[in-house]
Amino acid sequence: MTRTPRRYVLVVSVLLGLVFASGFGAWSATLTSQEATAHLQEETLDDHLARIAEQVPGFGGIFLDENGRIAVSLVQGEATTLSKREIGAAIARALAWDEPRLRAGAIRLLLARYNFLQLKEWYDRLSPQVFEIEGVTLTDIDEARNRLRIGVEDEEAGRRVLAALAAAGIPREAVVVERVEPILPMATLRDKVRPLVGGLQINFPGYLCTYGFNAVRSGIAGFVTASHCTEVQGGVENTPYWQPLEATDTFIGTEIADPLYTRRLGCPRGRVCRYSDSAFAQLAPGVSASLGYLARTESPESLVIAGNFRITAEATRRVKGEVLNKIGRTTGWSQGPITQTCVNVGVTGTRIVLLCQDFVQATVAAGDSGSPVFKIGTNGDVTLYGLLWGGNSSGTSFVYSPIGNIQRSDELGSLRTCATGSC
Amino acid sequence: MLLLALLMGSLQEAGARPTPEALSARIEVREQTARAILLELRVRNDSGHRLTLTLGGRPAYNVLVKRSDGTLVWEWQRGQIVQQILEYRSLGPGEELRFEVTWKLVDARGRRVPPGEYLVHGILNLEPPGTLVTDPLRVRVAPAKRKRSAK
Repeated sequence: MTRTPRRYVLVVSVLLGLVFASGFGAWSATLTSQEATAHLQEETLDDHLARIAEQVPGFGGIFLDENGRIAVSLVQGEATTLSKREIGAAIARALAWDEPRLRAGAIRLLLARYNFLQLKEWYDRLSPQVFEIEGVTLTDIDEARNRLRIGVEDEEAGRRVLAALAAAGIPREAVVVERVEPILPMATLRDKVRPLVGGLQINFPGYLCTYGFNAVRSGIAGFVTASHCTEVQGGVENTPYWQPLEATDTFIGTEIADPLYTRRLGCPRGRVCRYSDSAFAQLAPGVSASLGYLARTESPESLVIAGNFRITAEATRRVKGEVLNKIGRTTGWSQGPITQTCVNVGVTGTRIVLLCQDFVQATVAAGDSGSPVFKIGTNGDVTLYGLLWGGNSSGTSFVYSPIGNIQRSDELGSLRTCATGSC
Repeated sequence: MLLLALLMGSLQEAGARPTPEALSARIEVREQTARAILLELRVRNDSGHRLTLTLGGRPAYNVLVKRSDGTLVWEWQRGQIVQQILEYRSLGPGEELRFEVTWKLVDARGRRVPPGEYLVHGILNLEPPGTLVTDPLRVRVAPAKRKRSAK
């Protein structure tokens, strides 16, 4: 699998922008009859490009190249009778694009392997069935590469796509299958976001917290948040959760695991203890969640989601000085070094002591409880370190329960937290 | 009964838009001995409507003790770990929230403070960065009594 060259994404975006900003917008404004409006709504850009291919034999695609020139690809031997000016005119008509360079025939011709009509026929046949494969994030006719393009989250999804291609009789070389992160709409950590990812705002009766991370526990799909983000800290009350706030269509799951705080070995006298402030909730039927993904904001302190972090490992050790990150609904993405490891921490106003917790010098505020804590690797993927539950009064230091503690047999037990196939 | 700061985002009211006059906060001495002062932070809904406050953190309250020159002497939450949760609390007209804190007349290092006058501030943390802060309450700390040696 390969990654998409950014310039192709750019040129296609620029082309679409030019088309819509110039002639296309004016054209649509002139259509007044209901019939014409309905016709316009039904047509996509791919339909317009197919119309060009009907008029220009061998047309394979159009895009702006890296120098801003209009590039048109043609299958060799299929378009010998038309001049550049005639090709330009046909494109201008089909796209209703009043572009002087098209009228003048000032276009760059490139060789294409596939006719756009052929690509579209394969695309229309393949797209509905390929989207049924879990982990497929997008399908496209890539005009610049003159290929179909299918984005997948991971290699397993890629293998299934290739099998579907073979079954449909579509040549392997006509399709680019590549890794593309799940596409999220422009939203903040406090908006409704599906599929569910770590770091989002959650609501349970009377309170707001942060969605920690997706997990599979004993074969049950769900998510982890803080134990004190349940109706009673310790013990199961079937706490209901909504994301971002309670509404008719925002119910996401129910608490099913939250071990009791007890007097145990190592617990100070007169206190009750656990090794983690964590609870597990089962996802409600029909709610989508991306296992192994956390929301990534556009920058530290911003709440606007700009993509995802992918969990590919769980921390097996923690070292003072390591730089960790968290994503939470109140202060977003913050980062800082571990300042203390394996500290027994008394929880203010309670008899609870949390055993062997870590401190990180980074911004925190009320509402961040349940935030995923992680380390960013050199390739951008992340290692999950734990779950944030507390902070100091000045909001400069947070405390988290390490992932190893969370998965102890006397805590939540074994969890699957990584993106499919990554660990 | 004084209100110094209220950020609007942390207060919801059914019907009319809330105003800073809707809530009042004050801190009072409930009991004073030679060794400690029991303080009470009170937040009251002065509006004619039910209000919903968003409290920031558990516990959401804090108390600061300062010298008359503004130097911080003691903070109740200092060194404590607060659960980072947001809580909705509904307050009917005239209803109050009350929080108690004991100051054992010590500074941040746990040493007995010198006799004199101190200023006490009560704080209620709301949806960050909102806070509700009382006007300072003046309290007087008397000299510590010395134990008489037995004859």
